[in-house]
Amino acid sequence: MQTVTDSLIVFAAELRRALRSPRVLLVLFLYLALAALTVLAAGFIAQKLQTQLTSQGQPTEAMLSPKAGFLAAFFRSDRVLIESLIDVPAAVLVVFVLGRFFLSAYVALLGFDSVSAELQTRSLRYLGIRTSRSALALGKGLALAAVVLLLVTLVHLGSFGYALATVPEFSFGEAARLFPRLWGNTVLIGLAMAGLTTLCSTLSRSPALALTLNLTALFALWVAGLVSDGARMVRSLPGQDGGPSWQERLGLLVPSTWSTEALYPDPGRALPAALILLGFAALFMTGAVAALRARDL
Amino acid sequence: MSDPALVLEAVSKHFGDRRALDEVTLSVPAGTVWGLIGPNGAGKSTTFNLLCGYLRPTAGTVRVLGLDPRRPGALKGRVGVLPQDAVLPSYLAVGPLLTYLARLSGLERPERAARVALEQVALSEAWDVPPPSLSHGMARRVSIAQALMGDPPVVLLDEPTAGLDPRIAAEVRGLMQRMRGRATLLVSSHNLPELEALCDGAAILDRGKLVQAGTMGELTARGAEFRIQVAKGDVPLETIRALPGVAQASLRSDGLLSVTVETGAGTPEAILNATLRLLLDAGVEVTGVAQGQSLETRVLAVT
Repeated sequence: MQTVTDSLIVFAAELRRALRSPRVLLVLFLYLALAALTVLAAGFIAQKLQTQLTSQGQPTEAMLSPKAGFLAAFFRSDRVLIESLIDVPAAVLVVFVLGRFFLSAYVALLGFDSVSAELQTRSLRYLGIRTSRSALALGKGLALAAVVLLLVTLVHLGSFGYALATVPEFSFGEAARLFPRLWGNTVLIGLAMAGLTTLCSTLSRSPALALTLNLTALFALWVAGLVSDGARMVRSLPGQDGGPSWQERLGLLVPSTWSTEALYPDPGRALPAALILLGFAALFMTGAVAALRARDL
Repeated sequence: MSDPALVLEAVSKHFGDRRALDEVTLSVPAGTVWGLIGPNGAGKSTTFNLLCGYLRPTAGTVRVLGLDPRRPGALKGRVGVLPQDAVLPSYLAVGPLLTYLARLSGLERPERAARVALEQVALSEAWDVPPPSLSHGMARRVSIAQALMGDPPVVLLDEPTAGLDPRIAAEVRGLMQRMRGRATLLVSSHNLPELEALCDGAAILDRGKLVQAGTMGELTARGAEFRIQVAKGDVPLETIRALPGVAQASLRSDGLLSVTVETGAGTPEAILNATLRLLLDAGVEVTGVAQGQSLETRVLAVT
């Protein structure tokens, strides 16, 4: 119980710190600016495309083709998944897909020094005499997760708001139905990445090394995801049979694999994947707590 | 002496091949002020860090108020510490920072505790100042304030007066004096006269080993030796040597008369008085009297 109370005290102080930190504010601004730019660009391109198709007398459904190509590039060319997202306005879709792709790097930039910088200056000693290291790691991890939540929420509200204002056929009811699915999916991957960043930050006294570790881990996860997707594609070719190879199974260790799974419209497939993503967040946070408890302050 | 508040039993700490502490056994009685003395690299800060639970001992047992300091939250509200080389967290101004630390210590009125602590170190005006804007001395005082906040039963101060101007250093010494009997203080300092005046006892470390520990009287042989500074006149050295209870008497060229008292020869004060009477009767001018060796002499002899 004491750990929970102390975690909340640390969380409140860290959140206050994060929201006043120039670097965090800069990263938030960059993310929002990039998202806004993406929304405007995607909206502009979609509008031009629609105008062009209409002037050529072609059905507007022809617009679905570039959208499908874009989705196929990010979602394993999975027909079910692409069909479930094809009606999403371009601005929302592009922000969601690119945001999800770059979120890991943003989270790393937001939180790489949350613990490591305080280990370097030893200022953590003022806190470590007063509370458990578990409370310190949890409080800092939760604060990072809260900043990520805020970031993702702002970006999604912005893109949905833009789509509601500019796409006549995108109704409020449709937006309300779609928002929890896309927002929740990004939040889940964001939480897992917040856990990973907190873990990497506890592993080194040097913030630069902590950031390097974090980016290396992200790169390794990205490569593992690529290898897994490649192996799946090879297995899906005609004449290939047998079960999944170990390369394909490598994808099970990658949070983004489960993030994609969690996007499926079938709740029986999406919910377990969402829980696994939460499991990743919990696993990384447990690792951060264990690392901080084991190390010298 | 009462029960020990701080205990190290055969404690060793290795950093790779380097032995920072080597089988140190030490206990500090509750309610006393103890000094931790030794040259640079002797293991003082390592001892502090082990007592605070910042480091895990390679071997041996560490206990603070009977608790393992590595146990999560064991020292909460029980120990105040002034770390030597830790930078104050920079993300909150001094007042909010101390309030945050008081809250983490579990103090009932954290803001009130923070204000009282800042008043103790005469820094009330620094409430809204961010720590990076403080001078070295002011930052040190804020660190002392957080260590004393809430009157913890154990206070560990690593070089508390280093970098402070003489007036503030005297105030900090006064603070430590006032805590005598209310808390157990372990103070590390290179200022040996300061420790001699302040401490009930001390432990002397050298190259990771405990070379001597005891009460200040034991360390300075206060009951076994006295020194008299002579300014002018012929010292009746043979007569002094012949006094009952005097084991040895010697006179240095700078006029320092050292007299060693035989073990079990009664109160050294009686022999000191007899010696002074002899000197004054012989017309010798005396400018100073000191009992025992200085702590500095003792430390220099054993390290």
